[in-house]
Amino acid sequence: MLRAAARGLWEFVVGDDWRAAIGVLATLAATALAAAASLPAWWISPIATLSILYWSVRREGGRRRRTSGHYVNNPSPEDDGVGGAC
Amino acid sequence: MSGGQASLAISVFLACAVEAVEAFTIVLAVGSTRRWSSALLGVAAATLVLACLIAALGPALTVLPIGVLRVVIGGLLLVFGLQWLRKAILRAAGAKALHDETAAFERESAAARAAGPGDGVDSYSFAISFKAVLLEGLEVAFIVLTFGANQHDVPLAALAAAAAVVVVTIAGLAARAPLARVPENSMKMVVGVLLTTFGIFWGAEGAGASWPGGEAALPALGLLILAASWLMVRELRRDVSAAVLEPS
Repeated sequence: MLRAAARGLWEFVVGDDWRAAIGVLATLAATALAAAASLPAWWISPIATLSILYWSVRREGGRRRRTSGHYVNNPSPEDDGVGGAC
Repeated sequence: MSGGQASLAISVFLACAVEAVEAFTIVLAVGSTRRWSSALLGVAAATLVLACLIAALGPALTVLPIGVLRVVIGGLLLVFGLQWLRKAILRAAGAKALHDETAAFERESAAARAAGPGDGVDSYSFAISFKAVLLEGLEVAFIVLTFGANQHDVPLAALAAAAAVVVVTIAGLAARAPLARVPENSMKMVVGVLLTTFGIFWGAEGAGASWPGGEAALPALGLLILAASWLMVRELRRDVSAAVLEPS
């Protein structure tokens, strides 16, 4: 039961792309380090976030194409139904 | 109402409306196929759980130091916003199927008919409605709590969420059908942009960065995210078209 709850929490917060979550953590850490060193830090988050989004989209698009050779006729559990982010 | 409060209300309203449309489809399918009283009981129970969650965690979050609050909430909003945005981009480009409320209604109705008959309180109707509202509502509760706590206005966020539920319910009852014509993906794209924008802003601020122009940087950030998302949709759409023309 605990394992199921932990998995549910992980899926709710992190979702299906853990690399994006790690990227967000690294972005905030880099911002904190730059700010602590009195360097301009505001530009790090927008650039890093857009890079994370771009690679996440490319990775998922590529995965969908590799799985069945084309895109939309490749339904996955999160395409429809209850639960999962958005 | 300040700009921050307006952004808070719009973000929560849109996010809640999208999730309410999806939950409404399931409750409608179960209620019209089996037993309305049990389905509505499930809705009431899930709403109560969500309200308790917000009432318990809301005040607890607002006592955290603002720096800690912003970096934690900014990070969570970023992770969440990126999920919404990625899926909206994939759907807008045709790389992922759009959420089809009519198909979801048919599927849920067929499953409800196939389930065995229930006596008294129909446990099937109750459980499916409870699960639908709770799972769809958890994301809304998260957005209400994070946005509300950061702006020190959880009641406004909760009010915006409640308004969205009321609007969707009235529209659904008037249509007596799944709300298939609601532009769900466009709304999800807007919510994704808003969550990501606020996530970047609050996360960086909480980590110690200072934004040029302070809160005036927010609209610029939003436009940047929107423009980048549009470019990603265009690029991916080209790939999808190429794949259709030259299937592997």
